[in-house]
Amino acid sequence: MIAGNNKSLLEKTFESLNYLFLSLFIFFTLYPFYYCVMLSFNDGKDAESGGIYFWPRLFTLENYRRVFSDPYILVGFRNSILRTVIGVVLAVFFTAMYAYAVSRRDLLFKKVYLTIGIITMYFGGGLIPYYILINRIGLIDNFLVYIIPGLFSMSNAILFITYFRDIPVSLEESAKIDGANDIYIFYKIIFPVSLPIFACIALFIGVSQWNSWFDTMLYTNSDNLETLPHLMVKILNTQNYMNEMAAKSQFVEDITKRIPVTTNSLLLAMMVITAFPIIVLYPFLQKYFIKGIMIGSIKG
Amino acid sequence: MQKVNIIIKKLKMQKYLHIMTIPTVIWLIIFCYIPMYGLQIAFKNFMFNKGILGSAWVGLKHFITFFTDPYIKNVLINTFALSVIRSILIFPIPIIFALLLNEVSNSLFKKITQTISYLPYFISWVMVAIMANSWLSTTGFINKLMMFLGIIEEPYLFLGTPNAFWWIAMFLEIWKTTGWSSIIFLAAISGIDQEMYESSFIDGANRFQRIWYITLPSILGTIMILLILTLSRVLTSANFEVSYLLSNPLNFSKSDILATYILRIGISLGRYSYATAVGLLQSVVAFVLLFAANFGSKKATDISFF
Repeated sequence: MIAGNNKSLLEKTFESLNYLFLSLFIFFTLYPFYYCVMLSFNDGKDAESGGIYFWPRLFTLENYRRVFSDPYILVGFRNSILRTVIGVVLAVFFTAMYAYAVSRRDLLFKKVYLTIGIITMYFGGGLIPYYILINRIGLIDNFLVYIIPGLFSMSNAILFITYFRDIPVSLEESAKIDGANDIYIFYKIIFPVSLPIFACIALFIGVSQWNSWFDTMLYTNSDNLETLPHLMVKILNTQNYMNEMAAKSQFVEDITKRIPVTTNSLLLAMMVITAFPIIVLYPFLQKYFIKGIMIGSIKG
Repeated sequence: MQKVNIIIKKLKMQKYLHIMTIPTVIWLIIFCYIPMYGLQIAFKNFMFNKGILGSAWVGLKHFITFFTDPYIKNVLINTFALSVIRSILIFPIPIIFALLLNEVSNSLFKKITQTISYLPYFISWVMVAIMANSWLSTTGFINKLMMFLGIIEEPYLFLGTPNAFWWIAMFLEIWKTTGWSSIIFLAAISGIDQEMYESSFIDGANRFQRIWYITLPSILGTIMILLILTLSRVLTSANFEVSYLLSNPLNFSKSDILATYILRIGISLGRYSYATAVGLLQSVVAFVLLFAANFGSKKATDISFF
């Protein structure tokens, strides 16, 4: 901007206040998070008495040791990683294939294919009919419930379509003359030049898979299908109940029997571990996410 | 006849493209259209062993139950209040943030602030709820800070006080979304023609005049579009995860919303048809609002989504 040399006192005051305000904003964005990370490195029982605001008072790695030694939590860890990796790879290609086909301008019935997708963005059956469906097709207590229902989403498909439409037709035409079919063209020519959008969608899906807990709660019962976020929700719910009512449920008793740290310190350690990959990646992620919402908003 | 031949020829040529759409079409039918078909159980008495078709019709029974249940009033009030807070009340905050950030002349400071402001968006609500338990506990930093500032005299039981719940939901929403929601406004601001600022500078306009007469009017279109979207969600956008994850027996009277009610009644108590009816009502309201907002904006500003 233009550097004024005749700034009024009012403007100078505004400028200083603005810096002050935004600095406070940064502080209140970061500190609450730091506060919890720090508490996760403090002895759980000791933290309950409060008074810890900047550094751990009784530093310990016990909370983390417990998280990594609890077989129950490790199963959740494994499943969250599995569903993220498998879910991302399959969903990205499943969505991109459809998007590529309907992005071809001369495709017959293109309108039909597009319309049956777009309708699902505005209408749906809601929780209970969906729950009945999942029951009926045998996905209850089945690892596939983490993968198949998440294979497609129309909003992601639209991002792909927008991107594919801008790829010059000449690129595929030469391959077509050589006799290559559309599936071959899609994997060998379109995919390599569309890596940015693939990365972007993969991140959208990956983050939501990694954080997903609702499906675990609704559609699974067995401990073998536990996921990390759902475990946190389960402990959190029992803890909410316990904190306020001082009532002990069987689950919390089980947990505290096996794990001598407090449920809160355990939860914080789990939270930090779950957040870790996202925090590490997020400076890189944000570029793609912003790209995603920009394409989306231009389209909208 | 010839037309049919052309179509068949074209279909043959494009057969691989059609093959590529088939998996998605099947997926859409199973996971989107069958549940829509299942909506009819809102008018039936659904039982798992009888199936959707075999269950008996009961007409509007479930809707009447819904409107005559005295408990519903409370759920509706909570849903409405939390939706208004989430959509309208916090709407101006990202705009103000974007305007203030735009006035920063130090570009490094600006970039750092911006990057940090996105961080909470990437933290899931489950993690936020876990952290909020620590922040808001009687020994947490918020109580300490408020006591230090003299706002309260002794630790306040935030999550155990029904009347605090809506405010907690609001502040968590602000913390999590302000930076992220401001992206779209910052993008709109960066698209403003710099010459306008230069000529205003020559004309002797001060900073506040530039914000008021150039920046704000230039991003008004963006603000309007987002406002319309927001208005269409004004009754139904209450945050399920916040209500579900931070509710407890003490604040339950202020945290129970339609989404948590449907989950409890439908899945936990197994009243499938009734819960479907409640869900259907909510979707209808959301849909009517979206259309009304879209229609209104088309009339008023010529901006519409479909």
